[in-house]
Amino acid sequence: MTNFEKDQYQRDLAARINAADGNYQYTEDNALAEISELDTTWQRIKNMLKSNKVAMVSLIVIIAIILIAVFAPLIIPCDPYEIDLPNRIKGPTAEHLLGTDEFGRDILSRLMMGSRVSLVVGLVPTIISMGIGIVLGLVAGFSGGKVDFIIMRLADVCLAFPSILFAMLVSYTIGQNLLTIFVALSIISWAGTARIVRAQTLQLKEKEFVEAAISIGVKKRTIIFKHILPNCVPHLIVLFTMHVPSNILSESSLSFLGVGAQPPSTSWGLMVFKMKEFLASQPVGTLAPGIALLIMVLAFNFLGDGLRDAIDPTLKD
Amino acid sequence: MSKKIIALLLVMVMVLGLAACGGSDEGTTTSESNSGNNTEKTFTDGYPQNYLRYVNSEDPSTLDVMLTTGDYMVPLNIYDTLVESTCDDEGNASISPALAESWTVSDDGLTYTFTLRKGVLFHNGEELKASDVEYSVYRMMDPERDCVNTDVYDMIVGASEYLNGEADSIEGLKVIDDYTFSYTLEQPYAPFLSNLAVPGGAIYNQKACDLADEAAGGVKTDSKFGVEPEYTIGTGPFQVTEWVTNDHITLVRNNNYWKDSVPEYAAPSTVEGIVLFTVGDSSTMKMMFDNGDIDIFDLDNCREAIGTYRADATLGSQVVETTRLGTYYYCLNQQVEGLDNVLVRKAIQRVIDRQALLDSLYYGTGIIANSILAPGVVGYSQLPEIEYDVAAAQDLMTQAGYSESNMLHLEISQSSTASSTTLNINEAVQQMLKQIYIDAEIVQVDDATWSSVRSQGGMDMYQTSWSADFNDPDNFIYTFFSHANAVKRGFNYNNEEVMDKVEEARFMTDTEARLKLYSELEEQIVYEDAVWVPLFHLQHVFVLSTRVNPETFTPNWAGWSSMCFYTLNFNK
Amino acid sequence: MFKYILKRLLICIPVLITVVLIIFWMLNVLPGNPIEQMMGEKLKPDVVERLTEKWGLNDPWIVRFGRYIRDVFLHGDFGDSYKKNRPVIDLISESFPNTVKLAVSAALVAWLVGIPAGIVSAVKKNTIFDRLCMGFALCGISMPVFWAAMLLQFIFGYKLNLLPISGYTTWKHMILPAIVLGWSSSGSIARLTRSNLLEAMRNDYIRTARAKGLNEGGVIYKHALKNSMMPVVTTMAIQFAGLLSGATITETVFGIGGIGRLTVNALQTRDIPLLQGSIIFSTALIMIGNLVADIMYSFLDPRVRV
Repeated sequence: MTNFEKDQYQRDLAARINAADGNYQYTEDNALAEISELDTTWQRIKNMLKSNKVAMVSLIVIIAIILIAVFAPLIIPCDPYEIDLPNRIKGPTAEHLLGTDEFGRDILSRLMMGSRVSLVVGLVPTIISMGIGIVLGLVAGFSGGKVDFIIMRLADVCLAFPSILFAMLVSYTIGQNLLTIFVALSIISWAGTARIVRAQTLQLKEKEFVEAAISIGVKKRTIIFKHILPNCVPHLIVLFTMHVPSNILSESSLSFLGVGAQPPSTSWGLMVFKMKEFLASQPVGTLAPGIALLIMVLAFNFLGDGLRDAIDPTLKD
Repeated sequence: MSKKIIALLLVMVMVLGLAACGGSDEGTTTSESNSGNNTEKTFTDGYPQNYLRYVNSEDPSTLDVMLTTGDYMVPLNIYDTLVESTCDDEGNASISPALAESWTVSDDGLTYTFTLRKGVLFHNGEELKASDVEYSVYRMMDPERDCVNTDVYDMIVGASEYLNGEADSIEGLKVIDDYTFSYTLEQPYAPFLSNLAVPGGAIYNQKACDLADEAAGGVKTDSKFGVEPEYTIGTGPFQVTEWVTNDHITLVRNNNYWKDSVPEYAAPSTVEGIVLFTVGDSSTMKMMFDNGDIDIFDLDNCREAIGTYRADATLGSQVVETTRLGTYYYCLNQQVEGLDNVLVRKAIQRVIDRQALLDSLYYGTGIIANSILAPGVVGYSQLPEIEYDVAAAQDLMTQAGYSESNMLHLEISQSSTASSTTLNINEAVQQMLKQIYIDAEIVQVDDATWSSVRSQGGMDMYQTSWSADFNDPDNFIYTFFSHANAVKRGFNYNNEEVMDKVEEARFMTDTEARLKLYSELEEQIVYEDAVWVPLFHLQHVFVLSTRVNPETFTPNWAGWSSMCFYTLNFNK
Repeated sequence: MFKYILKRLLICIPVLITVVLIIFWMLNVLPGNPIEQMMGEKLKPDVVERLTEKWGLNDPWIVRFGRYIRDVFLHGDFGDSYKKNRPVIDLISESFPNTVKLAVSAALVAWLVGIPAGIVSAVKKNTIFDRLCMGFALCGISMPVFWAAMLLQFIFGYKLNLLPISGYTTWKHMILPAIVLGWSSSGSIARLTRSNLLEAMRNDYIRTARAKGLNEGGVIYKHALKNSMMPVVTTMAIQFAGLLSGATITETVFGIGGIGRLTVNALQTRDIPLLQGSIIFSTALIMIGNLVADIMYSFLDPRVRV
């Protein structure tokens, strides 16, 4: 579901960039202003965080989760892998604050370790897919013609592909492990990023200063890194905060379909799934990872919305 | 000010919107107690009260039992076979007459002559004749069809040739008169009768099948038999009336059922029909049962609930266990590095704490296995126990040259769609193996990949179970340790002597000597070669709703997970 | 404009074929014989061999692909499902109405929640109302679907015993699945409504309207809302197409026999004809959704030709 939203946002943005209405800063053909765009973006984000408490709290939550994930091995109360069959599916006690799972393993410790997988699954595929999207978008925008046509049709194929099915197919094909999940979640989701970067490139290519730069023989690389990419950054940041939560949730869906994280390591999605059988007898078992997941994803969503308010160029005052 | 009013109005719109979709059913919802097992629930609205409600996790692929080796639930209730396998409470199995009233076997063990029961009617009113039996055999072996249970008949003279298109008729099948016919076998085959009792041995009505073929325009593979209820005709205690894909199948009682008039079989019941629901998620199933939406809950789908139901004051007595003629085991691949060493295999057998697994994951519903055959299977014998002994296992591994610093890496393969307990066992065993310097990795692949890798002998080890299709040691031993199957089942078994003897045992006519040989082979395979890690013989556990009488819940044959509900009855 | 639409429609065909090709190829790379898989553990090796030969599964995959494309595009024949032994078309047309039922009811929930939530939070930007409404809508897209479904089943079906837990025979059965699916779709609608409304309210004509002394409600309703709904409607169109192409998990948890479950079952059992058929079907739906959206956009602004 969230995929459609991303697609829509990307379409929306691509259209706006193409349309390049009067509010748009880039219409002032001022190369210096273009470069400083990046600085103003950071400034706006800072201002937004100051005024938007929810986004601020979200950011703190995300940082806290990242810290837990990084230092998990140092702060876990018990060995998350140690099986203790006589003490399986027990409610919270002083020793096991969130109780134990179906093997008698400490849920709190597993939750802390699981945050690593969940975070990585959120971040890595996002970075990969956006990387692919940026490169292909630039190539399409710069080359135009046949190359552009082919890349954009490829993007159509990716947009049309049922994503969960594709993820299942990939994991069936290359086996089930974390790497598979990265590939499965990133390989078809680059299309939206590519559309935006392409639109941005096309628009800038027509600008006099870029044309001038090209004509006097400035290297393409310079143009890309100095002018085009900085202009994409705000959109990319927003896209990033939309991709991450949707990837985290996709992994939980994959766990439900049996192709998520692999034991004995665990992700929050897998924990929710495995403990859901015990909803009646040990509700904490499924509620704790579920709520953790909800909070993390919600935090990403809130932060993303705040960022969008702050940096979406068409929304600024 | 007006801003605030607008905002309030909008919030109200939203709340109303929510209420409209969430609350508008209030008027029609019947107020029911939450005690569970109330029979008049909304879910089954539209079904008469005397219908038994059952839930399956998957929609059957077909109701034509010749085309499936697994979807037996409906076939067992709508068809009959010539003979039936039954298993008493002590686990003694026997063959009893069904559509065939009696039979004789020639002295050379080659010719079986059957006499059909008279007056047996198909659901379409036709009487069962020997010609229907003949048709059923030809239908199964028809090269134009895609039948998969051809092994029921393939030992009849000329049957395989007919299947391969090398003969126009099956020589060994003779119809003598309307109620008498005979099968002649290529060589004496001890389990032949047991084999006829499998669901695939169902007898169809020629007229009904022809109609079903016609409805498909004569294309035999598109036959409507087993697809559309009105063409799916058998002699069984129930008849299919409705099949809504991925939702439910409705069966109604056959009031002309032949068993009703045979005193030793008759089981008068008030169950007028059965509704088989298809629900893919085990948590959903459990909630449905707790809510009284279903009458029989197969706890294979939710083992975790066994403990809860047993402890329940009212439902405790509704938990029934049936013998499942099956064995849970680990397969060890004899051809991979590490496992090619018998010491390692023996160590693995000893380090798995089966009692702990049985008690915790299966709530003790079963017994520890030490053999390949399961109790209740002909030829089952108690073999000495494999003791759980970590120290001894460590010694064996040390002898084999492994230590903390020289760990053996193994992969435990499992299908990602296997039940959650398979993963649970594997996770637990993974930890147990750590104690004997084995660093095991659980590799989950999808079902199709799993079967394919296994049939090429490419897995280190895997856990699964095997239950009897027909009651004979051959169904176990031959399946795993014959020349034809040693690689296919993933053991890569290489003890030629044993495999030769397995072939030999198939066709021995001296029962006593035959069973003794099987027992010796079993001991060799489990204790000397140690490729088979026996785990448990589990009971099949069900919980019944309070309106179902647990006394009448007697699955006639427990080898399959499915059963016939003919004998089942409600409480008075 | 007409030419543009025609061009886009024509492009759909190769895109569709590419999707099928990719799936066909991936399925081919996969180990696993569909027959072995379908018929299960008890199947004898000789039967597998016989059927593999008979069904032409030994042919190179490119040959099978060619055959498939020919049958589909020249004869409109999608083949028979291996597992169910029935025409793929029949199975899809049986499952589709259930998916439609679910999609329509979920879309209704999504709109009823998403649009009001978006309006409130735009009008009351950066207040507690804004945060609450958006928070509620975003919760839906922040939970694993199966978990939300299970909790709702547990509360409304089991504890309170108000609604059926599973099945899809009456409209009452559709309430819980619709809430689960609709809630998870409402987040994006709320977001879009909010941001578009905010944008519209900053426009000059709104300022003019306000200056002319029109009351605030009238301004929002008559001008801002009207002008900002276009992108939202577009999203709703795409989302609806997505819902129509099946919601696997919701369908599985609630035991609804729809397209999503059909497709995943087909994949799990390697029922290649059924899988191809249902993927073509759902891909076509998504493409139509995307196409409608693109056309709407280019209609709004002819400069956009994505």
